Parts: sequence; structure tokens; C-alpha cells
Amino acid sequence: MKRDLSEELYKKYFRLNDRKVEITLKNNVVLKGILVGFFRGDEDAEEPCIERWHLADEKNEFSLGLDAFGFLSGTIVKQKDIAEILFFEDNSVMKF
Amino acid sequence: MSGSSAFKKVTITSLVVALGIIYGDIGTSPLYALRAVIGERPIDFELVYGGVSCIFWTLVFQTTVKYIWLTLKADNDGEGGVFSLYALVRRYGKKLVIPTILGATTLLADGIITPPITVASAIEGLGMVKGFETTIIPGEKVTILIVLGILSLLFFFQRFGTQAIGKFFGPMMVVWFGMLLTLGMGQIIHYPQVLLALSPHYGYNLLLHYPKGFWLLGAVFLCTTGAEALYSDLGHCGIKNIRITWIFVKISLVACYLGQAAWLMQQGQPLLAGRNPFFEIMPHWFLIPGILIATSAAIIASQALISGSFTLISEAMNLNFWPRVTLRQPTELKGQIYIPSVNTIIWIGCILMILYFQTSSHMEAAYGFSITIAMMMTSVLLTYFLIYKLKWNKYLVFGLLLMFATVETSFFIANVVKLKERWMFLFFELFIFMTMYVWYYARKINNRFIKFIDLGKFVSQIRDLNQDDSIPKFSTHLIYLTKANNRHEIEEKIIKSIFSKKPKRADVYWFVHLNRTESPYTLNYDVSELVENKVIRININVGFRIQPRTEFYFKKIVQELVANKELNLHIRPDGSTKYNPEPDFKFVVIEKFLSVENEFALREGLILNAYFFLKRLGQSDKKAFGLDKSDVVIEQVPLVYHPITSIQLVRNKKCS
Repeated sequence: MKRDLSEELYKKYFRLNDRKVEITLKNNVVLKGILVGFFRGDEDAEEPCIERWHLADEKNEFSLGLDAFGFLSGTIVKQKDIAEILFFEDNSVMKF
Repeated sequence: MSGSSAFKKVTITSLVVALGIIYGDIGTSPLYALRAVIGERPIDFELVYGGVSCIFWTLVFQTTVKYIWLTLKADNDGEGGVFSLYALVRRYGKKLVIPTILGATTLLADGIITPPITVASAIEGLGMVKGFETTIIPGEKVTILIVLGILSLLFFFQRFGTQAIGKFFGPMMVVWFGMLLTLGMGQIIHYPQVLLALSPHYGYNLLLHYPKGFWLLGAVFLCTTGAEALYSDLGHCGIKNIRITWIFVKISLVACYLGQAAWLMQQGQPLLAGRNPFFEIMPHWFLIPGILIATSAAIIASQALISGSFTLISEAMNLNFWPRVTLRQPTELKGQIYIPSVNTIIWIGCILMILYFQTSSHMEAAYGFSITIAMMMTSVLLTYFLIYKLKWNKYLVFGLLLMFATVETSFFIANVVKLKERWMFLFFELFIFMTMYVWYYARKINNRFIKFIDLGKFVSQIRDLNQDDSIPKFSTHLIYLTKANNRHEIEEKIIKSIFSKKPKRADVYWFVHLNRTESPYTLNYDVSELVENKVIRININVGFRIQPRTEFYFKKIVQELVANKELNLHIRPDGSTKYNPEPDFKFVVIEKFLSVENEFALREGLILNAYFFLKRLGQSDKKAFGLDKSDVVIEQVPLVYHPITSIQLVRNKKCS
């Protein structure tokens, strides 16, 4: 069975104390922040366990990634677009 | 506990009960199947022997081998039917949802003809009784009115359940099959050479050499239309009871068909000319009791179809294929349900069938097409079951599949001509199919846009809120229903509901997760306290055959926790505990509506708009979750899937 790396990321990430990460996308764009939420994938469509992540500024840790007017702050990152993630807590890198 | 455990043991009673529940549909086919094969064709040796041979071998291959032997193996904790089979195999095939929807749709659609065709066939027999010849004529007003009256009464009485009369179904069907056997044997004795018709070569000759013989399969198929319903009723009786009673049923059916064939060979007229061989084999003195027994059997067959439709829709609701609609349990009998909206739809469908077709022979020309599709879809799901669940050799399974595919495709092709008689069904089928498709895929889309967050991050905030006396208490126990599978996560909208605008302070925050299991009768739960006595999550596992009663389950669980001293019930927020010791529970139901701030692709837009339209027709979320009695707060949240991003909102410069 194919490994679901999104699930591995999920398990690792939510065990961290320092949740700050640096995400490098496949188009070489680098994003920094914390993952404040996620959207589950559709198994029937053969999507990964987590299909999208919501990356927000670390200042917004308790704001649900929304600004005062309810507009989305931060970025929605698709799992399939992630090339690698650096975890600041232990400086480990997860490659996709 | 399996729903069928009461009948797993084989006793005389359980066998009689099985006869009453399982064989209504297939057991009443002799009323019209051979008549349909003969039709208006000249009665000759090739047609009669070939017709009976085809019927016999259809009962052997399609009913005995495919359904009684093979498909009944696919029991989901004792339950059968297309949805139970789907629940067993869905993890092995991502696209199995389409054959499942198609199978359920076609089974429901053709099921609408079963009550009219059986009751009309039985009543039309009255025309042979002296004194009724000029009154009971197929297609005439009086006959139609009697059939309409019987069926309308049957649908009217559904609301009261079948507990009272259900116990007579089994004995009545014993009488019915006994009658089929006796009548058939009575004719076979006079013409024993008819037994040769069981040889397959007569069937082969009919299909290949008789003019347009292949197309007669459409009529032959009527003898096995009830096989799919037989599988759906598995849970009521258990495999052993069905298999044992099938021996008696099959002998009776074959004897009756052979008896009709024997009469046809001896009656001496070139054409049937409106006569029904089923009633012709009855002695004249037996006509009235015979017709009464036939009418009773027809009513039992219709009842089986109606109950089967309720079960099918109830399973569809629980597996998220159908909008939540009102469902009642008219009696204490386990598994007995009544769905008013389905009852009305089938009743109207049956009335329209009678008014449109008028006679049972016209209905024969339309009956069966959809069932062939239902059977083909069951074959697809069954293949997965045999390969992945029973781990049968793939080549053996494909060999069996090939055999059934050949038989069923032949029936399907032969039945295609019925489309011109049943075009109006396509609308009904399209309606059912689209309802299931929209409901299933809209939920998929919905689920894709549910944002989950880490509950652990907000636990300290919840604790702070709980202790903040400056905020008025919203309730003692605040309960949310969550879709999050993992106890550490929660929907963002729930956290928003707790904290946004006026924060909801409570003594205990409950997050209740209902998990629909693939096993039909699971009912258990587990509790995890995220903050002792403050934030508690409950997982309730509910089988897909069980109607969820969230409030009832929740209160039972709390009662158990308090009894075990695991929970302090707390006092009421207004200090009224001394007057009313009942704990103060408040459920928050978050209802979604489609926000205007969306930009959709065509398919998504159509599905979601249709979904919210259907949702308005169905039950409210409050009722659907079984929250009738409690204090329920409904919160409306807009669903924003694809926010409009291309707005160019430009501020105009002030004119001086």
C-alpha cells in the first residue's frame, strides 16, 4: 500500500511544541508560519488523508487563520504542492 | 447483536415466517409469467415446452445458483441487500458507489410495478367466476377500482405497522405454495410427459429457432424478478431458513409452471385469447377460494415490496445516499419502520401504474427491465465480495461472473424492448438516481471544505472561558456534534461558535461524534476527557441499520458516567437546581447554507444547489440527529467553498 505522507506529516506536526515550519513548494516558493488547520481528502478520489493545509502567521495562532472581518489570513497549501517542510523545533526536514 | 439472530435457528416457526417474508414476490410470479411467455402467440409444443424449460433453468441459474447459493453468502452481520453489500466491499473499489446507486434505484423503480401487477393478476381471475364474467373484465372500470381500492388500503394501513397481521403471512404463504403444488400436480398427473420440458434443449431451441425466440426472455425473466428482493430480506430470516424453504418453494413453483404447461398442451385452442393458465388449472368449484388465496398472496408480495422499500431508503439515509426524511417505528417489532414520504411516493406510483397500464398483461410488457440492471449491479459488487472478502480464486470468480454476465446481459437485451412501454419510468428512475447521486457527492464536496483544527490548542482558552464569571453562563452542559474522527481535532466552525460574538460559557463542553459503522447493528461508545470534567468527547458507533437517537444515547451515557462517579452533573446556571434537579443540556446544531460568496465549476454548482434544495425538502438537522426534546440552539453558518477572488473593488476619489 502506498505511504500517505500527509498522514505522517499530520502525526508528526501535532506532536510538536514549537509548530513553526518553513514550507518549500514544488515551484520553489518558500512560506513560513504555522499550520492552523487542515482539510481532509476524499479517499474515494484517491486523495491523501490531508488534502490541504492552512498556513498562517504564527501571531495568528489562536485566530483560526481569519482576520477580524472573517477574511482568510495566510495561505491554503495543497499537500501535493509541498516539496519539503522544515520543522523549527528539531530542525528536521520532511521531503515529499 | 445481529438483527436476524432471532431467526438464525431453524425451527418450524422460523421456516413458516421465512415463507411469509421472503417469497412474496417470486412466489406470485406464476400468476403471470407463463401467460406472458405465451402472449398472443399460437400455442404449440415448441413454445410451451421451450417456455417452461427457460423458466425452469432461469430458476436454477439465476435464483438458485446466483442468489440462494452465492449471493446469500454476502451477508453483512446477517443483513443482505445492495447497501449491505456495498458497506462490505466499498473499501476495495473506489467507484463502487455508482453500481450501488444504480442497483438501489432500479430495484426501487421496478418495485413500483410489483403491487399493481400481482394484485391486478389475482383480481382479474374473478372474471372466470360465474356471475362476474361481465363485471370483472381486465382494464374495465370496476376491475381497476377494486385494484386501486385494495392497494390504497394497503398503503393506508402501513402507518399502523404489520405486527398484527404479519403473523398470518407465513401460514398464508404455506397455503399459497401448497396450492401451487397441488394445482400443478393435478395437471401433471393428467399429462406426465410435460416433465420432459425440464430438459434444457427445449429452452435452447426456443431461444435460437423459434421466430423472435430470443426476445421471449423478457417474459421468461418475470419468473425471477423477486430474486433481488429475496436477497434484500436476508436479515429477517437468516440464510439457513431461506435455503431450506427454497426447496419447498422451488418444487411448488416448478410444479405450478409444469401444470400450466400441461393444461396448455391439452386445452385444444390455438390461442390464449385473454385466458390466464394459472386460473385455468383450478377446478371451477375452487375458483373463489383460489382467487382469495391468490389475492392474499398478492397483498403479502406487495407488503414485502413496501417494507423492502422502507428498509432500502432507511439504509440509504444512514449511508448518506438519501436526504433525511421522517421515519417512524409503528410497532415495537425490531426493524419495522414506516417512512411516510416513501409510502406516499410508492402509493402514487402504483396508482399511476394502474391507471396507465390498466391490465396486468400490459404491465408484464413493462416489468423487469430495471431489475435486470439491479441484478447486474449486484453481480459487480458480488465479484468484489468473493475476491476480497471470501478470497476466492480470481479465475473461478471471473468464470462465475462471465456466466452470470451472459445470462443477465441476455435478459437485459431482451428487456430493452420494454423501454417503449415504460418510458415514464425513466423520469422516476432519474429522480431517484439523481437524488442519491447529488446527496452522496454533495456531502463529499461539503466534507472537502470542512476545516479541522487542533482542539488541544484551544483547550486552555475553553478552560479560561469556563472560569470567567464576567461572562453569563450559556448553559451547564453545552453539546456539539462533530464530524472529526480524531479526538484531538475539531471543526473550526465549532470553535468559532464557542468564542465568536457572545462566547458560550458552560460548565462542561461535550463533543459528540456519531460514527456510522459498516456493520449493521453496532451500538457502542467510548469517552475521553480532554480536560477533566470540563471538555469531554464521546464517540458513538452506530450501525447503518440503526436510527440515530443522539439525545437519547447522550443522556444514557451521561447517566452511566454519573452512576460510575466519573462525572459531576453541576448545578443549573440560574440556581434553579433545588426546584428542578434535571441537568441543563443545550445542544448546538450548526446548519449550513450556501453562501453567495462562491464561484463554482458547473458540476459542483449544480450538485450543491440541488443538494441544498433537497435539504429544504427533507428533515431539519435537529430532527435528523434525534434532538426533538432537548434545548436546541440552531446556528446558521454560510458555506463558502470557493470565495470570489476576482472582485476589483475600487475606491472612487472624492470630487471636490
